[in-house]
Amino acid sequence: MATKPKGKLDKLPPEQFDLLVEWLSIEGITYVEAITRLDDQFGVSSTPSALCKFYERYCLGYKNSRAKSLSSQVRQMFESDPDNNFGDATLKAIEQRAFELSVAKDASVKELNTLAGILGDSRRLELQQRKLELDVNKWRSAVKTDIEKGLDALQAEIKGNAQALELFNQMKAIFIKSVEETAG
Amino acid sequence: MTDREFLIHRNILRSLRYADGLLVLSSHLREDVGMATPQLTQTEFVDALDAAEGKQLVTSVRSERGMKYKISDQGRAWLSENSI
Repeated sequence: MATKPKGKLDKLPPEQFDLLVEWLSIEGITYVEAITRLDDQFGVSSTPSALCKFYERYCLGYKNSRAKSLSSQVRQMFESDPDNNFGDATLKAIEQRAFELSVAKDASVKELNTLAGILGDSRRLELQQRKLELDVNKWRSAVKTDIEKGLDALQAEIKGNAQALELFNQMKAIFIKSVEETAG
Repeated sequence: MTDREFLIHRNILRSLRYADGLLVLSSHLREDVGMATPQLTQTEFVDALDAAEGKQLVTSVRSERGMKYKISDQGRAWLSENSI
């Protein structure tokens, strides 16, 4: 199949070429606006038809490609965060949402930041959970120690009474177990 | 398929290919394909999408923000066979 002949826009210097791709693909300007900018900034005249062909050749899907790249990075950030347990379905949903936010013209940076902020939130939540576990363990240890001290004192008083001692040992086991179960 | 239908068909698949498996909102797809296709009408776009879906070259998902599309393996194969 014969290649299409190169037009004026295909032969733009690299910097101007890249700018034109950005204007059309990312900024999303109209062809009318592109014609004005090409003339004003590069001294190049063009037509809607030529711009349409240029778009088809070089810009079609470009925005999707950039958005895909960004959303993959967002997904990797979540995947590599050791403090999150997101499954594959959730990671996929995050990637999809990041992709749509990147493509949308009216997407707010705030929404993208929110996604990134979730990473930070999950890490903070994990730290809070760890702190809570530590506090509970400390409490459990303190309560157990106090009860044991009290029971030891009682045991010292009744050590001469075998029947009382047997009953005491049974009750001590129940008390200790109940403290552990409550804390757990 | 006419030349124009072929052009619209191919532009839809090319746009979706760059999303690499992620779903593209119908309105975004329309914008992208519309810039690459002279005077694309909504009817032409919808007909081409329906035809592509009928041939299982794309798959669609309905969402609260509208229909979303992604290219299928058959769609990728079609593009390979019909690339410039």
